[in-house]
Amino acid sequence: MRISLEWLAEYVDIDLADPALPERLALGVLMSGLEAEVINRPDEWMGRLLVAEVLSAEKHPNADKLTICRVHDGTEERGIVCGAPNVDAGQKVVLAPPGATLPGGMEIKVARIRGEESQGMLCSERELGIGHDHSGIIVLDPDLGTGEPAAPVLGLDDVIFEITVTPNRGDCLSVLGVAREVAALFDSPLKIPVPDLEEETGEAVSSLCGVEILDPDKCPRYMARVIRGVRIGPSPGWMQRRLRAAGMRPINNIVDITNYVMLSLGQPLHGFDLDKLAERRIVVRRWRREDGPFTTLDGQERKVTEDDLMICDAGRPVAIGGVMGGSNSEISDATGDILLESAYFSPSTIRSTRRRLNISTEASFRFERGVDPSGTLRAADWAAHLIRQYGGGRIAEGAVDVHPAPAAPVRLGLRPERVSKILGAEIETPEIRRNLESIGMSVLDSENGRIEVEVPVFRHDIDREIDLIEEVARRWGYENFPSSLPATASPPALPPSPRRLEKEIREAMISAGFTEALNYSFVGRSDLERLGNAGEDVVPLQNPLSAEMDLMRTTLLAGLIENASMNLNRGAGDLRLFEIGRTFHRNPDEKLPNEVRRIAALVSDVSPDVLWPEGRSPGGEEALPARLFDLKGALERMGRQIRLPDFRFAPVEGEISPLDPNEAAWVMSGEHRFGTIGGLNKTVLEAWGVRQRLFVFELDIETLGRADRRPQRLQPVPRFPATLRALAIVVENGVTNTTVEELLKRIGGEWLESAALFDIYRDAALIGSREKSLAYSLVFRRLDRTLNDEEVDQVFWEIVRNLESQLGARLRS
Amino acid sequence: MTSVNDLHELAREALVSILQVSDEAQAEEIRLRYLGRKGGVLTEVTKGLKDLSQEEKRIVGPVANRLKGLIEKTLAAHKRGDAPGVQEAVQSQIEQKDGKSFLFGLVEIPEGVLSFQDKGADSTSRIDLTVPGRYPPLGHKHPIVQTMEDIIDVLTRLGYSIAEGPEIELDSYNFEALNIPKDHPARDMQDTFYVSDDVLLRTHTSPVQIRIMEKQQPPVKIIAPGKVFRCDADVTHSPMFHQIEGLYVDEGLSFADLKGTLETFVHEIFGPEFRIRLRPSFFPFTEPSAEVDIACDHLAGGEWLEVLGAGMVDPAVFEAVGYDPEKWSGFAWGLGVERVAMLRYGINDIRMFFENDIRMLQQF
Repeated sequence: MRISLEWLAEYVDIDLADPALPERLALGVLMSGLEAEVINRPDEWMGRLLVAEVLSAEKHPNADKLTICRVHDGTEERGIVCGAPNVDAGQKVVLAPPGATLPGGMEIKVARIRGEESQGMLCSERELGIGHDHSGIIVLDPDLGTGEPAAPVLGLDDVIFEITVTPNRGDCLSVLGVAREVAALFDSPLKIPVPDLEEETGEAVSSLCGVEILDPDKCPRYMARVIRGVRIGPSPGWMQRRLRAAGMRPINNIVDITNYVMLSLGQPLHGFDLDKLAERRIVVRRWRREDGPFTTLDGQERKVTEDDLMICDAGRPVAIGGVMGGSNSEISDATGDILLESAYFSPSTIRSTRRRLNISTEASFRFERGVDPSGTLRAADWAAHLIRQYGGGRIAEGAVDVHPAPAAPVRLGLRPERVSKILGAEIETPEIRRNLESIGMSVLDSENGRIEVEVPVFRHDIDREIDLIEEVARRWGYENFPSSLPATASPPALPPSPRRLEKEIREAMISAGFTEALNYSFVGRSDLERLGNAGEDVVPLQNPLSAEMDLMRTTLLAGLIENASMNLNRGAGDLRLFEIGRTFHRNPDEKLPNEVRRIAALVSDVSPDVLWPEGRSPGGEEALPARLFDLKGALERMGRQIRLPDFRFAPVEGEISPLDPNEAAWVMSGEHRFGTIGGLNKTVLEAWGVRQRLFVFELDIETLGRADRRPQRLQPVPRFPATLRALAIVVENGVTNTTVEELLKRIGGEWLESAALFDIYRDAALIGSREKSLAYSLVFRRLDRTLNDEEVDQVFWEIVRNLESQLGARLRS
Repeated sequence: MTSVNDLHELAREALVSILQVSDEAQAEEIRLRYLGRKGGVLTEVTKGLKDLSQEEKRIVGPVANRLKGLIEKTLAAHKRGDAPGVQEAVQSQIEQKDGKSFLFGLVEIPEGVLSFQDKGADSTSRIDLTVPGRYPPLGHKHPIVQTMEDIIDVLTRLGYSIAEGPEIELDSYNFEALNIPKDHPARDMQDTFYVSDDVLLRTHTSPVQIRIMEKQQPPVKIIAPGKVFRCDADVTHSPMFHQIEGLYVDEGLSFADLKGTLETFVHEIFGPEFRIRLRPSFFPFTEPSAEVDIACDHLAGGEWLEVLGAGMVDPAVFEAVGYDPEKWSGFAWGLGVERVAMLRYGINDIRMFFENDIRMLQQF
């Protein structure tokens, strides 16, 4: 909300001559709970702006979108090239002559634009920093004098504050509301203008219209005034200036006056064309099916429902209560008699209608936050007074006021010792009293040290003792509070959260050279479909920001693949990325989906410009996707670092999307599968436009966390020498290293300390195309004595016999 | 004729010379001196072998040969520019016995001769240690995670335990229990992503407060770090961001305690030079509520910057979880991790955190 200093000064005694006032006021208001910022102060450049008249406007010969204007500035005629689509002969406009520097730093100079000389600029709101509109230049009231200074017309000759009000303080959404705060702040009197009711010269209002409320819960109060014989025309210049400075566009005298009074007093008003109201009656009721569709005055058809409160005449709706008027009762140039509505609607009604219909207006914004139910008459009187003054006509005598159940002011008890206890500062009772009275509370004496407080009806946010305590704190000033540290002992800590395991995994991945990514938790359905992860369990959002973010992720891979694609496109290579985060899966038995903590990692293939040996198997004989084994190595290393026991890889039967079936494995701990590892399949790579291979793993941290990770007991350090043997066998291609290793360990028992694969070899000519050779270095050792060769040979041959009989292996000679 | 004793002396001298050679020319010089066909020291020794006793021949012959080999290796090493190769060659001929060094296991070498490191540096053998080191690839923690961990560290030192909750929440936890009924304008403060009418992506980590208080009687002292979501996206707003919220409930906690806690916290996280300012604000779940601004001369020209929201827990929240607001009081605060990270690292566009460009991530 924008208000000017001079306007504010009409409502509260402040010293406008004090040059430090704007800052002092903004800071004071800020420190009492409203955000206030000075957004305009009179400046030298503003004095240069002139009201000018466009004499002629013709299309530029060399540019479609430019217009060559002849403009008179009061003393001379100038040629100006203008780019605005709305410029036209006869308009009064704002001229920035050469020499002026505008707020954005733009300096106006005589320039040639496409061959035509331009002596100055015609300005839009945005160029002057007074609004966001840049669709065209500002067109002023045609009655303004050519050559007069434009700054006052635009409200630029005054200090303007932008004030942001928290949702609980609807009472501050007006000049009066801010003035109340300022009055309390500076301890100066509030001034509320009183309109002259002697002006009521018309017939009695009750003979001209009737008002009936059928739904008093949604509309507790409806007040109407009638003004007859009004002439519709522009509003006075000073009012237009204030509206403009507040960011509103002047329309005509009646609309401008209702807006002006709303900004001044916080009470939204609506003017109906009385002749367009059937039977000159207002009925406040809900929408009915037979009412049919409703068109608001902006020409839009609205899908109102039976829950929406409508202002109706004897037959049909004429406005959506508290939100927007209808086109069927709108004031036009032909309007003579006006019914002026000043009502109080229940905040929740307005809010639900506003949300359902998705229209937010200045009126709905205020009603939603609660206007002053006692202020309807004041606003109606003030508007009637202004309409008579600036639109002529006669004010009918009296106002219709339907207010079936006026609410009594709230009375609250306040315990001074409670104030001190909550705030941690000794605030004496007289001080509490003074603070509360400064903001319009009536403090009534009462017994036992308890204070009885009557809250003004416009403070909808105060209905409990704690609300009063907050007011005391606010008025006392947060900066005046002492600081202390809690004197209580900290309670016992909660058990460690699963974050601890996440942290260990993160450290392990980082120490393995991986960089951590963070992606949005929502992804596009199409991405999950491509990854084969858009199953029954997806959790869609009702209101996604875009179709690319419409489902909660069921895999972390979508984000990492996207990151890889982007980084590779930007010329990066040798990617090692990981992410730790949650995936979301619908649980048909619960309201909330399952959230699964996961880790995923991705490596890119060797980039051609990175010096790196060709991918080779152990022993260097067979080409393997080395980076897949780098990734697997990192995973195994992580497993050891976090003490994950019994960590192994099992081949995948069938397919697991999105992995290439030839390069996929389950990651297992015991019999639990807790993730997958492998190369991404071609379809996925193509979908993300990646022209190299990517390898990934994704694990479920929760499953992993269930493993027994207690520190293991010390194993004795061997004191006797080991005996080494090499073993090279030929097996079928399908026999995996794990199968062989498991057999070696089983048969080798306590004799075999370790077995490590050091070579894989395939050669169709020497071995056969369906077979491969695997070579292991075996370390034999016992903890209790030195082995002799005979013993080792015995075990070795026992192993060989078992390899032969169980795996069909033979020794490679 | 060279006796065994003379030979020892000769070998020691030769060794010292070899070790002092610093380039090919000097090596050649030594070769000539010892192995020159005319008058070479070792050439002469070999010539004189025939005059020695059988016993002496068995000693002098091999020593002379091995010395010759060593000198040839020295020359060869310098020829290929491998000065350290000389030391290796020498070293391989040294044996240690009883703490003493013997060349070829025979000729005792006095202390000092073999201490290579004491030798003066020379341009050929000096290693250029400004050449980049070899190290395995360096991993990087995401700057948001780093910032979050730093904040959590401070708070755990102050005695707070970490608590977590679901990222997809019930409306009742995210709003209702926090004193934000349906059709309350405060809901507009947080644009919400909905999964269904009563299930949503949490807009703050405050529902964790409720979940913990429902399960546990006071005192409660927790922080809830995690992801939160709001439908908003521009340079300073991300639809997903991270929050850390603190909650302390006990008997007798006051607004002054909140103020002191926040001061400690700001000084720990940002530095003791930071000024802190509390000003009244509104959050439905705290009362009184405050916005917390910080400022310091070297940041943003000393302007006040909003970093935290805080307040005394609203009695309505205590009632929602069954705590007696007359007995217990408490305070809560929350901060946006991205906001802190942006200030800390000088990042202006929040979206950079989630783009995951490695050129950005690998700076941290």
